[in-house]
Amino acid sequence: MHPFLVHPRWLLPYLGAWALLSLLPAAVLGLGDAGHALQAITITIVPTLLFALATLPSWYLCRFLPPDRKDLLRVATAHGVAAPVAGFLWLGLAEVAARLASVVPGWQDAASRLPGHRPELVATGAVFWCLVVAFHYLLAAVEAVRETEERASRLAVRAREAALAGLKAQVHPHFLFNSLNAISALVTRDPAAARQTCILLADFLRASLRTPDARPIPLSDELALARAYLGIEAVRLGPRLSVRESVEAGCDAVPVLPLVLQPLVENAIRHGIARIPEGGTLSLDAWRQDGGLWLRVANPVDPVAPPAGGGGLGLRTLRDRLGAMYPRGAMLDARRVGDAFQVTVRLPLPDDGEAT
Amino acid sequence: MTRPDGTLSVLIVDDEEPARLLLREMLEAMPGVRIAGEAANGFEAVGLAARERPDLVLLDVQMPRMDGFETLGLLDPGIAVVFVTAFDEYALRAFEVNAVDYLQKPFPESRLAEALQRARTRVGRPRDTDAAALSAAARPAGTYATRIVVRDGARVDVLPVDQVEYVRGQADYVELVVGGRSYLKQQTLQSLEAALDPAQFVRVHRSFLIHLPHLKRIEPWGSDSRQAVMSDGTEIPVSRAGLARLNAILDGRG
Repeated sequence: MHPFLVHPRWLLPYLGAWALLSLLPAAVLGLGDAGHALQAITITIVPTLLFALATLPSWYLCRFLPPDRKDLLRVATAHGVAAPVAGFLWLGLAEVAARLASVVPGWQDAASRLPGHRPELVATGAVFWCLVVAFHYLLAAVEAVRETEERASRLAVRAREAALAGLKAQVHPHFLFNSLNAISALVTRDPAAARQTCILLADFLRASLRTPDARPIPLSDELALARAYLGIEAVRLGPRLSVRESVEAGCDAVPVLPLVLQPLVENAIRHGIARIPEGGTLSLDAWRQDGGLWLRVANPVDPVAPPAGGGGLGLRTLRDRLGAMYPRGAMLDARRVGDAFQVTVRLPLPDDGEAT
Repeated sequence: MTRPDGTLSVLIVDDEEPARLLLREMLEAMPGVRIAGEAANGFEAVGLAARERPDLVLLDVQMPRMDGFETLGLLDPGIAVVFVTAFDEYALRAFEVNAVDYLQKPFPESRLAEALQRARTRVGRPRDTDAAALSAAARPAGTYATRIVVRDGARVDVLPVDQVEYVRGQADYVELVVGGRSYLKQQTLQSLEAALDPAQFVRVHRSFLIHLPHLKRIEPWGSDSRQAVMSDGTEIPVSRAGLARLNAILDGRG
């Protein structure tokens, strides 16, 4: 659609500019001649404005013939043919205007002014055509830039939405219903434990459902979420799960990406320890070294039926989020070490000027 | 084979202790029910079932190393099965393998009583389980089996598929060869073949399925026949159609 149809108020300055341009042919017709200035202007301004309106559809021609380098010859040919045609159109409009003007009393000689200047007037019309086309190419370029910017900002919004979605902890239905079942079992034989498990589940759900936010939280909050999760798993798995936790002093307050630890702990249970009939030990380490905070979660894997890489999606999401949060200095390494699977994450410490 | 006293003998199978305790508590309060035992995984379940001969197994689906569907495949078809699971994604598959009922955790006593009632009407009527449906039910749609469970009496072995060298079909049994040992499983060669990756396992003969990574070479045999020599030296006959299938796969790999 022509931009003027979208923004009609642009039409007025456009016509104003053309009214000024119409002084050019008026000069040819004797603007300098004091007695005829008004007449000359009348004869040129009317056809110029009409011409300006009549050539607006050239917008579509310009869209159809973009000024690509490889098509330059074709574009030049098309406009080379169109320009003289437009020149004669302009002259025709001027002739009609002159005829009409000669009806005005005292302007009987208006029609006689044109014949001597026809070549100049045709050339003026051709130049006007070139101006119209150049103007439309400019409009098209401006529009293209705006569209690109819009698309870029739409993409940025989508990317941000995806990042936020990744922040919401996944509450797996199996975990939720098995936990409720465990509570249901505890109610009669150990009411205190049932209540304690309810509280752990509530803590876990609250942290999982809180409004997604990309702002860093203290490691201690992230550890609390992981411990609530592990507390519930300990009820379900019983002696099959043991946890060895080692957090170096001073790490608790370090700001970290929310949900950096919990998915690793959950993977270690779901794909590791819960799949081994005898269970095993989950180990969780946090320490500072070389300007970074290091987190490591390790779990045994079943040597008889090793997992088929089920934790891949969670790790990929976490890696993407780390990349988005810390442009430099963060890394995630996941590897099998014998019969264990271990994931190591390094986050830059805020002193680096990285984490904000 | 209803028991003389009319009681229903029930085996509890769940890898989570609280879930087993809950089932035990509910069952103990029900008349006409005897608890045959508790198992924390499929291996224990198969062993206990062979020894105790329960009428019914209450079977968890998600368990380590061998899931409920794989376990069901190793139980005597005369034993009724009720699946007990946390989440509803297996309901359809449970129906396909002729489970008596399907309970979702947590459930009220009345729901368990209903499942037991349903099981009573089924006692003594063997499950008519299609081996192919069963092996398909044991894995996610669109994937191939990565392990095969086999049972010898009360003993259960898990065979990783990539270690299977070849399979010989014998009537409605298959003989799987893994690391020089043979394992028997009650299944037709055809239904086992359907569960395995066709780019890895090739039916070279009416009675033989070979695993390509364990194939050493194909050599002429007799006047116009071929045989496959496996990495352990075993010679396996290759039929004309089998050779064509083999060539199609080896050519396709470039």
